[in-house]
Formats: sequence, C-alpha cells, structure tokens
Amino acid sequence: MTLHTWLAAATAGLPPEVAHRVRDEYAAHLTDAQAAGVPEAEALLALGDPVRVRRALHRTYLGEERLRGLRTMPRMPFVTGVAWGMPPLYGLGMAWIWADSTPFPGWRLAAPVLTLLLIVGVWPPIHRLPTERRTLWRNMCAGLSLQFMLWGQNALQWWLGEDVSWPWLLPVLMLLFSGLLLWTVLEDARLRRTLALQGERA
Amino acid sequence: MNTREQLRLLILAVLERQPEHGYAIAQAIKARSEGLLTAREGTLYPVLHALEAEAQIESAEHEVGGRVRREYRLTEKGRGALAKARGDWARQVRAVGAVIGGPV
Repeated sequence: MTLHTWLAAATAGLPPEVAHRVRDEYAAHLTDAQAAGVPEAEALLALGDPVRVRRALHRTYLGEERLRGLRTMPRMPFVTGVAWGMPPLYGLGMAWIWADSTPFPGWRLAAPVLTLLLIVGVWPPIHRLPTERRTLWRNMCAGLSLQFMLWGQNALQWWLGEDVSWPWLLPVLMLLFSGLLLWTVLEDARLRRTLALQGERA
Repeated sequence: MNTREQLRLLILAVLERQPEHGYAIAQAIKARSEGLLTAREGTLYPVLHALEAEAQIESAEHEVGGRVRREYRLTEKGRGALAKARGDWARQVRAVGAVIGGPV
C-alpha cells in the first residue's frame, strides 16, 4: 500500500476541504517519520488500518453526500409545509370531531396550539442559521411536530383520567422524539465542525 | 476509561508541556511510556480534530524548514479537562490496585 492509496481509503466520503486537511497532516506525518529514518512502508504500517481511521473521521465530520443533501434541500417546501401545516390541520380535525360537545372541550386543542407556538418560536432563530444547519433543524421540526402533538394529546387524556387507547404510545413517542432531538444535536455538532473546516459561518 | 479516552488524556498531557505537531505527539507518547503505549498513529489525528472541535486544543500552521506543519496547543478548557481526566484516572488506578493488591 502506498501513501496515496492509504489516504484515499482513509478520506473516502469526506468533503474535499476536510479530506484536504487530513491528507496534508498524514503526508507531513509520513515525511517526519521518514526524516527520522523510518522507511515509508514501516511508517505506513504504524498509521494502522485506514478504514478504522475513516470511521473515526466520520464520527467527527459529516460525509460529503450528507452535506450535499443538506445543501440542495430538494424536499424543503414539503418539510416547511409539514412543520407549519400539521398543527392547524390536527387542531381543525379535533374541532370538527368535538364540535357537537357542550361545552366545547378546549383542552383538546392544547397539543396542536402548543406545537404551533413552538414552531413559531424556533423558526426565526433557525432561519438565521447557515443553509445546511437550517435544513437539518427544519427537518427535525417537521419530524417532531406530529410526534409531539400525538404525545401531548395522549398525555393530556391520561392526565385528565380519560381512557387512552394505546397507553404504550406515551413512552414510545417520548423515546422517539428524544432520540430524534439527540440525533439532530449530534449531527449538528458534526456539521458545525465540517463547516468550520470549510471556512464557512458555522 | 476506554482506549479512545486514554488517547485523549495522553494527547492533552503531552501538549501540557509545549505545543507540538502530530508526529511529535505520537513520538512523545511512545518515548514517555518507554515504548509500551504504541497506539496506531493513524487514529491520533481524528482524536486531535475532535479535541480541537471541543476547543480543548487549538491548531495553527507554521512553516518549518520549508515545510508547512500544523502545531497543536492546549487551551484553558483543555487544561481543565486534563486535570479532571487525571483525577478520574488516579481513582481508577487506586480502585484496581485495591482489588489486585501489590504496589501501586
């Protein structure tokens, strides 16, 4: 294996700017090793398995394909529509189902109203983020809105002593949206590191 | 403390003395451990990048002998993390020593 093939394997799938810095560092490392009298083959062996290095680098930086996906954002209008459209639709559905009840159980609109308020609250700060981070967080909002509404609705029913059709849904939805939030935070950290290396506003 | 956390601690400890470039960090770990710690050198840079992303170290390029090298330096945040990691490590060593006995 040559330095070229080792570097190609270690930096596969990384954005060009990240790969460039990584390649420079490993090339300098090898030059230092050779200057210290270590033969190239031995120095390459000391670097270890390039696939393992690639996995470690991908834990720190976002892959090129993922980054491109966040930049081109082909589904963005759909995502925006879901984030903003789901709470009013859900609220209207609730109002239609309970329209004949007297007095009208206003608390049944609490989950969609709260979700809509959350969307209204987080959308402006998200809008100020760089394109890639904006796409990531808007995707998260869209994914979260329906889960949060369903969870809120079920939690309120349970709290008020009503029969809940699927009680297991409460912890499951809680796990789902906690997982989605955690995944987005970790993905955002990798994205910020990648953008920082690209010299962009992160 | 897993292998990756150990490598983070070793890097921070090496950089506590003075700023270094990647190859020198790897050599310092090997030399100070009298050859016992010989982690694959390739895994050093992903850890350096992660530490830099966490602002525990910072880096800058310098030209040395006509070649550009990236030198890493410990930050105040890194100094704090090193002190904490040292404490954790000492507790682990004491705990294992108490179980296995003999000189610690």
